[in-house]
Amino acid sequence: MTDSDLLSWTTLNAYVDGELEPDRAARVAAALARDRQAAAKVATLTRLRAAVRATAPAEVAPPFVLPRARPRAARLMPWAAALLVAAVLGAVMLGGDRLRPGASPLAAAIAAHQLWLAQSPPDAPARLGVELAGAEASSLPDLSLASLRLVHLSLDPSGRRGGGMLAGYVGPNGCRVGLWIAPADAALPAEPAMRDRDGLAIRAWRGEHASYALLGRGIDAVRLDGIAALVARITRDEPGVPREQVAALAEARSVRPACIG
Amino acid sequence: MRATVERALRQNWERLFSYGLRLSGSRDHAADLLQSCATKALAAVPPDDDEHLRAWLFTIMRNIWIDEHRRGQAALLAAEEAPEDGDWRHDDRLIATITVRQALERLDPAQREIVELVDLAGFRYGEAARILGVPVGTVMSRLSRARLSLLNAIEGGNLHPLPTRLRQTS
Repeated sequence: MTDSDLLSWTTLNAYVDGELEPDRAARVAAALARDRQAAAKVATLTRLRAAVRATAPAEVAPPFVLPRARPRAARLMPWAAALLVAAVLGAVMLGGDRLRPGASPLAAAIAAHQLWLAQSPPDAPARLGVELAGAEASSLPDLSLASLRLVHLSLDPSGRRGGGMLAGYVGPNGCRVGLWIAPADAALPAEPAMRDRDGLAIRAWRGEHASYALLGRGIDAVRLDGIAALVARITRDEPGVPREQVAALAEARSVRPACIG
Repeated sequence: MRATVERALRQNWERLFSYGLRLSGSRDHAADLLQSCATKALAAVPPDDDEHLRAWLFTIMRNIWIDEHRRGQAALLAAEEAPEDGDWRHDDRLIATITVRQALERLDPAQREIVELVDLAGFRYGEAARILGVPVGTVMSRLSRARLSLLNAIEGGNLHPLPTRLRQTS
């Protein structure tokens, strides 16, 4: 092996990192003694490596908090969630035309969301609906791209409007966003539209088989728009999520005020 | 078993967060990655060997991130050929914490990741190769290319340390 092989940039990096076998490291050291430029490279690499190691982390890590172990009952929750989802979607498919013509399509959604908000935060024991610890109900939209995780499911408390289900998601700062799924309502637009009322920011739209409403209190409008666009895309079963949509969600979360709901 | 994983998570908490930050570029997302990593690690069977436990945690975090951004994986693929360093003309006096920090931000994601694993998290080449799922030779070429890019970024940066002469007169 020639000196130029022994003193390639890649080999010198491995030499500085102590990653060469002892005999090869010895041959590199001997070759370095004959080549001043290669020796200068090693000096630069050594200095660079030390400087990189001396850089403090750009951000301080969050406090060491481990996820809670799932309570025993929670192990059954994905099954309960799946049954709930199946029941409601069945009702949605079969009972869509039973929606009372005079009833506001969002009244039940708002009632369900306010009921959830009135409950203790998700860490407290369940009282109404189904509280989930890291739910895995695959039939509901995965909103992890919006940093939201599913924690709550409840059926329409009134049960007289053709059925409906509220899926409750929570963000890392405790922000609660509800997704209402109910029979398809022709009065709603095909794309998410603003329907704010009763102190709640709401985006509502209809899909092929169901109508949807996304609800949040104190949530930034741009962020809610981004989440609604994501849900609409997922519920339409469109493949993948465009990178610009992911970026918009991340930006909305990082530069907009935190949700207070 | 849970206690072993908990201990490893505690010992590597800062580094895992830093790695998550390098992967995602966002503090919030890095915090989410950290929690997802802890959740998965606590639910999984850790390697018997303590030596591999640390690399295992980093692998879990990386896999979570790739799963979430499967469409963006191409961004992680860097050219793997050995770098050409050409004429050696780097000025060691420019290498300082502040210029290195700036230069790190200018590296492409794959290069930042390898520097994070080897230089900051302190993994051996073999461990970094297991985390990244690539041969050791790829780690060697990727790292040497990343360091060359780092030096070029330092040379081309706008912010340089004050020359010694100016510091003496101030």
